[in-house]
Amino acid sequence: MKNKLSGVLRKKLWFIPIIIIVIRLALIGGTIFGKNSLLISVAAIVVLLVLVVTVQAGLFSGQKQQRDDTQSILMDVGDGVAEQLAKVGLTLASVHTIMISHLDIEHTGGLYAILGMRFQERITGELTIYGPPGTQQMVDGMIAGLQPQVNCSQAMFARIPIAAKRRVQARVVEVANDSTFTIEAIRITTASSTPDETDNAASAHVVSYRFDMPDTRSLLHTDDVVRSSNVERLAQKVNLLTYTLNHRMMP
Amino acid sequence: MIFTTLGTMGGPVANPQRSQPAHLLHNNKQAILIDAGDGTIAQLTKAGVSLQAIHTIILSHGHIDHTGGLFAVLGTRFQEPVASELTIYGPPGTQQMIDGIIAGLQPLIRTMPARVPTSTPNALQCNVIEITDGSLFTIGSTRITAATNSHYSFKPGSKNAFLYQSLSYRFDMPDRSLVYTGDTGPSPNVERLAHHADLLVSEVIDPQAGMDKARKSHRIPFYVKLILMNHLKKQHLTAEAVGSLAQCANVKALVLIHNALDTEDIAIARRTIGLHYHGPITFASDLESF
Repeated sequence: MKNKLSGVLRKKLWFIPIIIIVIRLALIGGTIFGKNSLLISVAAIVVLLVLVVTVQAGLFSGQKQQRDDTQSILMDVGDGVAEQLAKVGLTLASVHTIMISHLDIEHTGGLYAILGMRFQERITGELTIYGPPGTQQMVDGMIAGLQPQVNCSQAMFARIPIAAKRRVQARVVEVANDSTFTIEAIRITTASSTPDETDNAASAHVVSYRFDMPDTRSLLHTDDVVRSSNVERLAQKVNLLTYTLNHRMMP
Repeated sequence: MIFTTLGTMGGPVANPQRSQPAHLLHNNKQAILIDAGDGTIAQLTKAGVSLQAIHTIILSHGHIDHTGGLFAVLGTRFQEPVASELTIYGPPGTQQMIDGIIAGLQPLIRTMPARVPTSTPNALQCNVIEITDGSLFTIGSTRITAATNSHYSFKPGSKNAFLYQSLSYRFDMPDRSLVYTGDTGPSPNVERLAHHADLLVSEVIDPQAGMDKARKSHRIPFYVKLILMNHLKKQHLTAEAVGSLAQCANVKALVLIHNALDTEDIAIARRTIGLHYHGPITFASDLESF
């Protein structure tokens, strides 16, 4: 412990982050302590400063947060999926990728809450959403719907520069047939099909995702109810196939 | 009308035992949904209430734990489709939120006519009514009063205090009166609203436990921890504050929701509330009726 502390202090530039922290704390002092005397703010800042230095030096390593390095990819995101994640012991912060098969509400209804929770819980990691054409428009609408809450948060923390800049963010990638990309050493290939082949523009695109994992396992996630040569090709020699049965909304 | 808890969790961090905030006020003819957190659709099914029965949604405030299920509720209404009219009451900002959700549903709407001809975009239409402190409205034989509370810390009378409101509600029914605090800190306005209510349905929080939950969830910056602690202490109700509210408002019974406490903490909170309030106290689980 002593070594760690002296290690931090020995670094020539150690005081720069500390000064930044002091300025930041001074800025938020008003928000934290309201209209109480400046003295309390200053005293608190000094105490906090000591705490920051000691925590950074690892003196309270027992209280240090274990960083959650679990990474999760969500396949479809129905209403209540955040609670279902909690039931299998995963945090929302672990989800960095969401793959949407199609835009029916039972596959997308939980995304609005996830975007909002990420904002409200201040989860900072990037979120990428893959989905059929229309996904970008759907996410844009959700972000517009969350705007009053973002405005409220920004107004509340107007004095804290970092907090005042926060917004709801997600990177959307609309995928077509036969797209290939790699996430964390997993190779993903897509197949796209439409239930009503005669009218592409007006019918739902369904994207099937094949996951080829480094350990040679492969998985195909599809929600297609129409026989599709694209999906059949994608399913060649797959280890595990997840398929939605009795899909009542499709003709 | 019966009050049924759909989700009794407190705070936006998802929990395996408690669903996100949502409640029902219902009889065999009509159902009012009070707040609509993530998972509302599934909780409704568990409560045995169909989406068709819900003609009114009342929102306490815009925080995502109280509104996260709305996209699914509106989308499912459209997709099923549910033909009945829907009215949504909520604080300023509700219309903008619903407009965004409906914009987000447009790609789904485009795909529908080919598949479900009975589903028209009209199924998405809902009547949004933004309300504020002192708003009075009637649904069936229930008279509802709204009151602003202290969940948001904007200076009273300021522009922000008008733009961003958190509301508590009083439901005066023919047989009894019920007050729903929503999320609030100690507030004289809520105390007035709850005066002599038959049932006070109140949030409760343990600042330290709430803090620990947030920290366990993921790594949060140091300054956020300070803000969060301040928020939990001043803009929510501790056990002591709930006890004091129930006692001062002289309510006949107290039900606690918005509950992120562990079993041991609940026992402590019950004792603390009991020091101030001597009526019956219930810590509600999901899907309990009162």
